[in-house]
Amino acid sequence: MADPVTRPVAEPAPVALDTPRWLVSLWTYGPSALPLLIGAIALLSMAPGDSLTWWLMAAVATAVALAIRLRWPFAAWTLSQVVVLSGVVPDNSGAYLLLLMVPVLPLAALSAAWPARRSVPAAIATMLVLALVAQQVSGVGGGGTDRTAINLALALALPGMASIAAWLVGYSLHTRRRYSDALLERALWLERERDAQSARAVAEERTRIARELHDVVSHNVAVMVVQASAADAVWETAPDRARNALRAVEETGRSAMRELRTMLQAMRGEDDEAAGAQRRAQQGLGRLGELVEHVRAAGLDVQLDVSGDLSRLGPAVDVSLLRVAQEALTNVLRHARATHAEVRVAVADERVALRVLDDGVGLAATRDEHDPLDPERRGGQGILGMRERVAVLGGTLTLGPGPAGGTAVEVLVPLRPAPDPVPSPAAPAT
Amino acid sequence: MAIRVLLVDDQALLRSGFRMILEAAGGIEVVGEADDGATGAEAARLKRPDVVLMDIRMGDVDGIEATRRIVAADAGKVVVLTTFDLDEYVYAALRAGASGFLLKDTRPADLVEAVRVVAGGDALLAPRITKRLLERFGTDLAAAPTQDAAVAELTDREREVLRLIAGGHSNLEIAELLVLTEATVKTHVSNVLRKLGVRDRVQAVVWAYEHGVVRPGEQGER
Repeated sequence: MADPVTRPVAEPAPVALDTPRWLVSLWTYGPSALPLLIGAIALLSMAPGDSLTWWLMAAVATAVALAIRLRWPFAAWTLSQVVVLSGVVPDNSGAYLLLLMVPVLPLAALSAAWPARRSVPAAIATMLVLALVAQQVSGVGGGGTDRTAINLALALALPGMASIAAWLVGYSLHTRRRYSDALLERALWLERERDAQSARAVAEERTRIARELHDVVSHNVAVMVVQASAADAVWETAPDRARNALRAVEETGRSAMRELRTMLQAMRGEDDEAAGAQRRAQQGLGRLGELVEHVRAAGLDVQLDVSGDLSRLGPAVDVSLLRVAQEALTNVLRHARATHAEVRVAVADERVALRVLDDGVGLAATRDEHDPLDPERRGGQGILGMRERVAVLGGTLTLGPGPAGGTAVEVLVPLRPAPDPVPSPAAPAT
Repeated sequence: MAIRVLLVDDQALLRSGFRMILEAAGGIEVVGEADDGATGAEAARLKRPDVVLMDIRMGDVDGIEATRRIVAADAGKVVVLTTFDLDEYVYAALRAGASGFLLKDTRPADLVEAVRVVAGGDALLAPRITKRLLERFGTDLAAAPTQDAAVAELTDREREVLRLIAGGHSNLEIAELLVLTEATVKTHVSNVLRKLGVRDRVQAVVWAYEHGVVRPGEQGER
């Protein structure tokens, strides 16, 4: 029982995550009722004796094994084997068909918890134990009658079928759980990656702004201060030099304004071609293909469709849309239980549309997963965050059922954010 | 005798501005200008100024390297000019032997005063800021108090004087604190400088921090 690799199954895993609690409890403890019922019938119908004692003990032990099978599958399975083996001793061939059923659920639970290389031997052991008991109670090999062959066939076929069926059920659950674990892990990884990326982008941007500010100040403002001081210092003794100093202040001030203007333009996202292309490749929709690859690697079949000229997008729009796509796909991975998704980007006129569709369970099914009062908060801050991003850009985000079921996230954003109502410092001075 | 100053900065307008301010003050003569570290160090060797005003960030040879060369050649006391960063560059310049630093927006009167102070060598430039700079960037170096032979050579009184210098105090303040005459304090200070093998007060302070004589935060400003 002290198997180092066997982890207690924290949640009654074969049941899907969003199953109601009462159903989970019923599935966990309900099966124990059957052996208890059989024990009760035995108590009422049989005379006291060894056989009755065995019936009662076997009933209770089986009930326990069933009750603990999801949490401690190995213990449950072992207990079920003990019950089956104990059936050899008393003369009760009538109990064999019941005994046949005892290890079915524990074996299924074990196969769900263990990898195949370890659950297959358990299934074979189950089969052998059942066959052994069958041979004892039905007297296989005891004589040479015609019934022997039939008995032999039954003795092997029934345990074989029971064990194989139980194992198959468990194994398929095991595979499915590993698959969904992998999906979840992938989704979490994507989330972390996204957070790290935006943090990095913000830090880089901050450093760049600080450096440029520093340059502007050190090159121009310092000169202005020093030259103005100089003008003051020689005002009376050398008016000509003072005047030159003042002109230097004026000239330097102009150049500082020019530089600040360029800088502000860059910050407002009106930077030049080359910088734009570079940024797109690093943080913008240029990375959409890469993102889709990641999601495909997580097992979701994603189709990507881009139409129109992405280079027309303003930088803020570009970067934000990648984040929104990332968020939407992460949500699909985490919540939708979809097998297929589509990402479509279309640039047309002065707007860009981003659609992320999936064929999963849809919004209604995932709505109360996090906060029953606010479906927007599905997936934590995800959708709220997407909405904010889009709103900042002057666009809209619509969330609803997709054309073919599942969920559709639809974002419509102007190619460039509308200019501020206040006169922009980037506007020509005259 | 006029104080001879050399200006090293890659911006011509800054040099001409500083020149006007310094020359208008009287008693200060700008003996030369240079627009990068290498020519600055060379000019210092040739002209032997009293004070070099040195920009830190310049092309090939920066202010730190130029400071190192000038100090090695004993070709003048270096005051480092910085726009607004009290950062590791300034600290590095002090370690390279600079006698102090100035912000470029220092008022003309203070600039002139600073040049005179450094030429005189009795006081620390911007004691408070110097102390903070050393506390911030000198902490790693002051990890273990080294029992340098020079420390042992100092008398108790001299060690006390060193601590007060590191606290940013002028000779006059030290005299008041220790109840001595200023002349006696001057003798102690020059003994300390000689025994430590440093050329001025700033270098004595750097030395004190780096050798653990003063721990960051230990010597409060009184």
